[in-house]
Amino acid sequence: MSLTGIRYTKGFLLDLRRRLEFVKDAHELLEMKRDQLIIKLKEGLERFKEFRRKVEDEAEEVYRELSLLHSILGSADLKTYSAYLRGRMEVKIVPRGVIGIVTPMVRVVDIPDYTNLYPPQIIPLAEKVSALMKDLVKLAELEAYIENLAEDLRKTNIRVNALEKVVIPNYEETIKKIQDILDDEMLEEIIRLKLIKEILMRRRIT
Amino acid sequence: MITYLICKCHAYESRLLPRKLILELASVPRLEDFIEILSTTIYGQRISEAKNVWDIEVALTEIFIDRLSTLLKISPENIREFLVQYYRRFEVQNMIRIMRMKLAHESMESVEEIIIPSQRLGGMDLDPFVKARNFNEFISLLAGTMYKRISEMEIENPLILESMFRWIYYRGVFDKISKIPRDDRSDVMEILGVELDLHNLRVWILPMLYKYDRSLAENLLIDNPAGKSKRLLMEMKSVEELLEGFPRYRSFIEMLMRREEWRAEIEYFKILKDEVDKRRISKYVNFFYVLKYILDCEVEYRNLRLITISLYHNLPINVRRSLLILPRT
Repeated sequence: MSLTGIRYTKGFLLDLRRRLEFVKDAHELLEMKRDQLIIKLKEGLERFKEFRRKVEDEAEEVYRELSLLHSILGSADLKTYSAYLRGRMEVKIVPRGVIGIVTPMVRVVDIPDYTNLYPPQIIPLAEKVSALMKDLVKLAELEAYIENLAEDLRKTNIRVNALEKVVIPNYEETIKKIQDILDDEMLEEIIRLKLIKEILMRRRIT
Repeated sequence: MITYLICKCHAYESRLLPRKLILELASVPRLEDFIEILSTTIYGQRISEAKNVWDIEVALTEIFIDRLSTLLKISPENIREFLVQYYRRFEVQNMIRIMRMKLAHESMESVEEIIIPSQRLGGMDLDPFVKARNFNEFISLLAGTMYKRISEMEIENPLILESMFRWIYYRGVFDKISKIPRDDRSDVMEILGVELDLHNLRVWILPMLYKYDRSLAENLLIDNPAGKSKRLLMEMKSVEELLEGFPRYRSFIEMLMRREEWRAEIEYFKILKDEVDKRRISKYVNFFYVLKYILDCEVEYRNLRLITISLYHNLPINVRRSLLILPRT
């Protein structure tokens, strides 16, 4: 990327230097954000890994209990037990900001109640499924948070790299170029002045 | 005539699968192996034609009902009367299943699929109930049956309705006790009492473990003229009191406490089987032996169904074997 509308003037040079300072500050800030995002992402991934393992264990336990109940009660009875399920699980998704990143937060508004409703044989399974559903929602929320964090990190990384590898070197190069030209012009001016001075001196002598 | 029925039961008993074979079946790696082994037994062709788990379950149910209905054909009138009422437990199971399906607005076809052929056991025709358009129609149809009391009640919780079905059933069985020989009445009463004790225990533990309303649990209890009374049970306020009050069902209560309902279900049958087997020798030529044979048939049916489904779910061999209802050694 090259800068356009370059003017080889002292004023433009000062303006460019001010802009370079600003870009460098922005770069530093983005680098800090990137580091923070990496820390957050690492923490999130750790939490996700741990929570996912817990949910997988829970799901395995639910499936195990379901298999056992199915084996013991038979298909017909098990099928009819599901008829007692009342209501649906309702969730509300609200946006939440984490270091400037908007990520969804899922709130369980309503979950079917099994108390006073299910026959004894099925209650422990209903309890476990209910807990698993809540945890699955939490896991989805955590997954979305990590995805958004990773996406933002990717974008921040691109910005940091662009500033570091393209924008700042370009500014520096342009500044150097203008500086060189201005120095040359100044040297030329000095030489010109010296020549004029010499000519004037020679005229005075003659 | 009753002697003939008892002798027949002894003969039929020899057709039940031996313990060793049940254990062998529980140890096979695949469902196909299970079918292959079972095909060489009395289950023969009906099982070999089965294509999937559901087919096997249906075939097993058919064979189980066949076995029970055979007893009706060779029973003297008074015994037949008792057995028909005793077998109504399968009709009640059907009624509860239909009720649940109607509550869930399931189609007629799916209701038909889960029905045990209880009509062959002297039960009433369930077709009108299966065809009922909705739950209300199902309830109104009960008016013309022995379950008419349910149709007169205005209850919203289906658990109470289930309990009412069971209550009507047990009241009917206790009424028909007079139809069996005097010598066997107390033993049959005791077995029914054990069944009700276990049922009531399971219900009464609901408020203690799962925060169910105490008033609801009180409504779910069934009067037990042959075991611990409802009133006595209702005085027990903690699991410790239950353990003290029912020492013979300690293992059952402990499983419920651990929230292992599936294990408690097996323990329920193990306790019943133990109670029946205890009287096996002394009641060798009594009507009680017929009841023992009926329970053995149910245990075999449940064991085979359990092996089938646990094979389908790929449960490990040790788990499969631990789930079997086998007499304690």
